[in-house]
Amino acid sequence: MQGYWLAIVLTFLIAALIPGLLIFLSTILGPKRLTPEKALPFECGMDPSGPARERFPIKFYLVAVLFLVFDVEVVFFYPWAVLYKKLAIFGLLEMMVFTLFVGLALLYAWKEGVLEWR
Amino acid sequence: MDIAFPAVNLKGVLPQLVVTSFAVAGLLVDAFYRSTRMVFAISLLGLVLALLLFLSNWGKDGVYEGALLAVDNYTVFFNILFLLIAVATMLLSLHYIDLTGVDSGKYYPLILFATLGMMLLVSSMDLLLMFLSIELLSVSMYILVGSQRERWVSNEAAMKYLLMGAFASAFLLFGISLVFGATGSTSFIKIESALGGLAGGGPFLIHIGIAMMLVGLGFKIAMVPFHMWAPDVYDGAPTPITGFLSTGSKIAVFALILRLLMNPFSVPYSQWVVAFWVFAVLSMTLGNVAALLQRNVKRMLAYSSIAHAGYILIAVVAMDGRAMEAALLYMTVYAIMGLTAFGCIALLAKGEEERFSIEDYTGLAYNYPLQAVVLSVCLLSLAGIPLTAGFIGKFYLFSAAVKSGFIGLAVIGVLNSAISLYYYLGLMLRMYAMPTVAVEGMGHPLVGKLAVALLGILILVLGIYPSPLLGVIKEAVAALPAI
Amino acid sequence: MFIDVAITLLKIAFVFGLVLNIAGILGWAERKQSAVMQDRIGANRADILGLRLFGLFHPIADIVKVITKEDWIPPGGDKFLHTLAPFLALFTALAVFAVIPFGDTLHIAGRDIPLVIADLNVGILFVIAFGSLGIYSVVLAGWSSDNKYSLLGSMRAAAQVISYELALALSVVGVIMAYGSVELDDIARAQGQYVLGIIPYWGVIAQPLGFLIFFAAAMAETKRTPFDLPECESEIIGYFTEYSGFKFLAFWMGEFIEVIAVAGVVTTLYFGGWQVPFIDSQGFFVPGLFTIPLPHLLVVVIQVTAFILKVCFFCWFMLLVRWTLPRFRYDQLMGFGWKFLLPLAFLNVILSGVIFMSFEG
Repeated sequence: MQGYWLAIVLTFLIAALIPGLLIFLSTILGPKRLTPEKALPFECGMDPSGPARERFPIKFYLVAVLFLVFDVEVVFFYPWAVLYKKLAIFGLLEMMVFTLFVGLALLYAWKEGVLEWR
Repeated sequence: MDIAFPAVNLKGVLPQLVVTSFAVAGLLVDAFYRSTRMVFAISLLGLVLALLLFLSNWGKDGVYEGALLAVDNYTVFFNILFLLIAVATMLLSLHYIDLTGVDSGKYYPLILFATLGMMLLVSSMDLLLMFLSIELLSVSMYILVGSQRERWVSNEAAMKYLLMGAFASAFLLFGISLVFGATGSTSFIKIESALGGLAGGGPFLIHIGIAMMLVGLGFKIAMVPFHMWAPDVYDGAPTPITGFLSTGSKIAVFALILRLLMNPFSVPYSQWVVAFWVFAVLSMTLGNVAALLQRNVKRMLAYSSIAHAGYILIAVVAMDGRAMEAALLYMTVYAIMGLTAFGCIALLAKGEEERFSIEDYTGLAYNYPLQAVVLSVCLLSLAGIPLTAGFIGKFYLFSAAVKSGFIGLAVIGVLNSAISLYYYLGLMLRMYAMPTVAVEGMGHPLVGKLAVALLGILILVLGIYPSPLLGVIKEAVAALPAI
Repeated sequence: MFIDVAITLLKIAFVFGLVLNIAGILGWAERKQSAVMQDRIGANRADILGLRLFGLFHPIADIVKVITKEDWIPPGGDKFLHTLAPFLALFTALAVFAVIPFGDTLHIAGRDIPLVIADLNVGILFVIAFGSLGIYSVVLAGWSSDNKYSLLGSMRAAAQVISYELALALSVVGVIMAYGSVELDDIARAQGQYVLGIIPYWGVIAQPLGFLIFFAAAMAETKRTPFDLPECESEIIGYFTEYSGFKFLAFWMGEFIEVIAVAGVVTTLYFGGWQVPFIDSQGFFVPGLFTIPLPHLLVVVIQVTAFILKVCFFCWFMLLVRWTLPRFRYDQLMGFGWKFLLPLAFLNVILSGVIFMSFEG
């Protein structure tokens, strides 16, 4: 069943072709009339002040780090889930211990206030 | 597909599990109750429990065949040493962190995690576990170094340590991958058997791998070409953590290097003796000469700790049973000296300020008699004056080098000790000189003073009567495969 | 080899044609649905020679209009990334369909043709991977727009999507445990079993809680109401403020394609995929009583139709949800993902483990 890689590649090609073509078409067909007002970024009608790449809250960074941690831990569930029936009670108990520690980590993050937005 | 269930022997790793559980419990208690005292008590309890468990493990040799961990006298010896270092660090920190505004709830559990990293590091029998534990140790250390959020030097030190440490880790990991490529395994036992029958110490690839691993590990022990971070980080870190970093982390990596050279890399090692000789000489000389020029006591001790890494490298060069014993003895002695020196500095703080500048130490003995006496004993020991533990350590080290035929190295070591005498004694004399300005006295907590005094007494006791420790070390070294 | 390529291309044409058409119709259906629910008439003006057909020509008119609009790139922005973002939005949404099975294996002219573009053995991981790749389009759009609000909108979107990603990935674990595979075709096939002889063993029977978690998290992944904070077409300025013409439509269409993808995955994982209860390759049957044989082609056509109908049902259901529920506040949104769905998903995994184990014996 190695044939599916060919199918994947073909899918990618066509999936890239459709938006690529349409975006290309719209750049050709559309008119181009740039006026000073149009060139400004739209910020609710006010003239923009300062550069757009502002600093934004560190909260987003914390969410990203937490995501990284938990996502890696979630991935550990997948091999176990596939072999769930073969690993039987041993695997289940091991996974319960693992889940306990992941749960403790979540509890810790929760109590430390990482999950609060204000 | 059949799945072979691993035979899990929990008893062998019980101390590590205890430390892990108590560290996690400490963090959770901090999150829920915000009580520094409780976190301190829990962390200390975890360390003491693990210590007792290890003591019961002593003498019960058992390498886990095909497993990741070794439990033998060698690892048990070091594990006990790390736990004692951690206990001492915690006791020395108790008052200090209240004084200097360290985020204390995470401080103690992080010490536990760092200790866990050291414990796993010496016990690891697999390159991957080795890397994981070295990262656990390092990451905990990065945070501990930066735990004084209000002081910008602390932040700077943490950032510097993190960036350069990550760089070193990359080297280490790349070296591991090359070794894996050359031998087809990450297990120490399998690497050794794969390298056993090869001429010329194995393929060229393995030497590149070893060189890269050496960069990574050399960074962690602040060996000379890779020592740049040490003075800044030691200076910026909270003082008890400086002690912890310069003793625990360094000794853990040294213990690992000794095991690596003994066990998997014994064959290619023969071609690396010269390199280690050069590193040893460079570390000793540069460390001592640079320490001469320092006006900041913490930086001075940082350079001196680089020099001490050089002394321990003498044992790595000599590398026989005698040298191993000398190395273990010197590491133990150095742990006590390092903790004492940095502990005394931590306890000399006046209010929120610490005394770093060498001028601050003028006439200190009249206001802080205990700290001054202990620090003097410690400095004498660091210099290697007879009747102190430092002398015994250096004596064994140099005689091991001479017996193995590295007379030149021993001579350089002795000369370096002579150089170091100048700055150690300089600081000591300054403390006993007449004070130029009146120094206000500060009350200090009993626990810290007691811990420092105990360490000072230990230095003297080991200097006069080292044979029990030597007996224990002989047993620990005997657990390793014959060289 | 050539035949294989031709068959694959045919399957791709079928799937993509279907998806793009449903996406176009969804644009109309959404307006009509909202109109029905708010007692309005909705889109009905576009006509061809006076033929209006309930406004069904609106999608075509939209496309023509949007392609001929000015394609405006902010002068302060990044030209390449600004173009890449809408491209990625469509590309990642479309690529997901490569692994969704839409029918049983077709036996025709001595060939076995599995009715899935690529029967990938890590199907679920592929779906999750491409589902989350879509966030790149949002972040790039926000970053390259040279607009503070776009940037903030894209950051909000990124935080939201990665937060719900966890619950999404974790809720699927229950399905994998139940059917013992990460291959979507295997999962669809395994749902042809019956419990107690008559109840089809669909994912929703095995994993009711898991289904709810998955559906909620997947809705959040598509950034639709009640989770449409990143866009908030009506009030808050979102990440595609600085887009015009077809590039704007690309985000809009990408969202609809994601809706169809979610419907497809939900159908495959939890609602039997292409399985129709009491119809299998032998024909129609009542368990334990009798079987009426049906020709193979007819069975396959019924199954494919059933799959499409199921997908359409879930698309419609999501429209219904959108026009029923109000929007979350941002802290509620993050709290719901991290403090409710994620612990619930952990609980679901452990509970499923215990329950399956106790049924096994």
